[in-house]
Amino acid sequence: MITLDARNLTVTAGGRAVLDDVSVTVAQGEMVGLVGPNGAGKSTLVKAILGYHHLRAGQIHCAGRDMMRSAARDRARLIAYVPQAPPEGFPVSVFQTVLMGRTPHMGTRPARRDLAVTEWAIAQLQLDNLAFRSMDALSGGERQRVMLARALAQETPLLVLDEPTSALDIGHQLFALRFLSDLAATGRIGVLVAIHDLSMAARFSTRTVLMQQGRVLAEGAGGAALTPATVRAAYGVDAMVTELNGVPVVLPLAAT
Amino acid sequence: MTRATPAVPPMQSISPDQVELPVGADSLGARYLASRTTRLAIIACAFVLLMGAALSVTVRGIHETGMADLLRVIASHASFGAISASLDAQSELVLLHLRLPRVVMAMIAGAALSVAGVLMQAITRNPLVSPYTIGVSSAAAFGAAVAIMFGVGLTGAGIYFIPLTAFVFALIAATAVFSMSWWRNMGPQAMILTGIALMYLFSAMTAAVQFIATEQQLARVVHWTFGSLNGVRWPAVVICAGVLAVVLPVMQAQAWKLNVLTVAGDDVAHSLGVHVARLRAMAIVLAVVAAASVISFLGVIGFVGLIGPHVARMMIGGDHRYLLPFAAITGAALLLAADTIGRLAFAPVVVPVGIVVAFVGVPLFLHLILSRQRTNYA
Repeated sequence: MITLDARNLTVTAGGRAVLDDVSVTVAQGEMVGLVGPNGAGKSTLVKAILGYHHLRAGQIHCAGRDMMRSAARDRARLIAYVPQAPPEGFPVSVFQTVLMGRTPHMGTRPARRDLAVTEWAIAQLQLDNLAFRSMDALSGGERQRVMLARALAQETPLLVLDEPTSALDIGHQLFALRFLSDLAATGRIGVLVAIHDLSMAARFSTRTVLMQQGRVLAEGAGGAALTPATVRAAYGVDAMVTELNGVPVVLPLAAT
Repeated sequence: MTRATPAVPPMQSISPDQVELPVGADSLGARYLASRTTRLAIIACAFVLLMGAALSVTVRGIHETGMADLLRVIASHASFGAISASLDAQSELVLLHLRLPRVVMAMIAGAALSVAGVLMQAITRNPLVSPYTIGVSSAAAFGAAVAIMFGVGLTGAGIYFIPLTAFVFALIAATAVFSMSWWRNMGPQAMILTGIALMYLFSAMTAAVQFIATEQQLARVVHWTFGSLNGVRWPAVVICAGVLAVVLPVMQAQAWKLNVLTVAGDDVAHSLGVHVARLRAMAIVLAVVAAASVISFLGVIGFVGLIGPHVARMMIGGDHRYLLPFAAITGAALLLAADTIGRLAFAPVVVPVGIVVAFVGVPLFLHLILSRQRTNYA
């Protein structure tokens, strides 16, 4: 069982702690939803785990290795990353973009196995018909599926996503989150996903971590961390937390 | 898209012994490999065409010679005199010391500037950037102006004094831009802006030098800024060829990482194990050295570093494994065409290549943009 273990992370920017003694773990088979208001430190935590930030304090271990001392390539074989939206760049095909997920496994050019894994990842995200389209001819939802396929092709035990559904319509949101939770349910991949929609977080996460002002405010199995009290404390919003047809719903009512 | 949840097979279904690339011609991997073969064929054909064109323009000029003469001269020197050239002394002199160095230099210069352009565009992720955007050319022009103005009499380095001074100033500009961006931890966009600022500064300094120059000096400075292949000699060709022979293979080995950086951006490239800062530093240094070595000998030849990469990208796609060698070919072809036109169109007057290249390149560039198809990506 491979576990990502980020312990007591503190990151400062301009003398202010943007992450203040935050600990989070993700094991294979888990889908951890990371929620919290804007500026709570979700993105900072995700990027700290990926090694972008200088840690004022804390350690990140994964598969028994100290991630802060590991080579970028070794980390890339353990943790894959999906950004909120792919940046505008020079357009290439969907296949080529997904193939880039193989970068930590290959030399200067892809081997046959890299092509085969790429093909498999494209099939998983139902992108076969788009494989040789240019990325700039795709819709936002399709592009995000390509990002997921690339992360899948990376064949890592852990997947970290920074608000991957924020720019998507509800159909693509459901598709992406259902896909991620099924992936975790195979028991071979652990998912840490920063997410804005509290209902979606409660519905798809095996565990939810609620952050506020650089700290963990509440944590619990499923959506248990999301109660009217914690939502009010984090967002300053009165909310109703309920279930409709067995689906968890967090309904914001009024700002306090 | 369908709302159905895709089946997620267990990851163990992918294991090295189980995964075989499907042999069917319509499998995605097979199509990808086929596109690779096509691209390699395009590169090979373009190279052969370029070499053929180079040979055929070498024999053209005021002193016309035959193709057989040219081949004999090349064979004679390639075999260190074992095969006798056996043609009249003037033809041999013209071919060996005027035409051949000029034609070879045109191709090497075009290739180097175009490759430098590909690198600069890749690391800034900005298709509008060329080697000149970070101030290399105006700094080199200032260096040349200073050398022309004040260097008379202290030409310790002989004919290399002007190129050497130009090269040093080009490196000073690039180092200034790069160290500022390093010091303030700036992104590529801020780096471009710093380069543009330096470009104006060096242009103003060149203008100031011109202001106090004599007529004769002024003419030489102005002529230098046109960029010309007149009077190119073999040592300059060898130096520029040597630089290109280092830069191109070294960056070719990084081509996949350049793909990741251009397509995925810094954050994702980092998460894929690419050492972004190291890659960027390496590409900048090599791009600057390649561009500066050419500019220092030939003067300012703009546009090739911008248009060469674009022409190549439109024809062969954005994969740097093919783009780097192909951009070298398009850059070489462009500069060779421009110099040949400049040499023959108004013979015996030779129009500087730096002027002709824009007249040749702009219509070609516009044609490609307007007729561009979106299908050429793989």
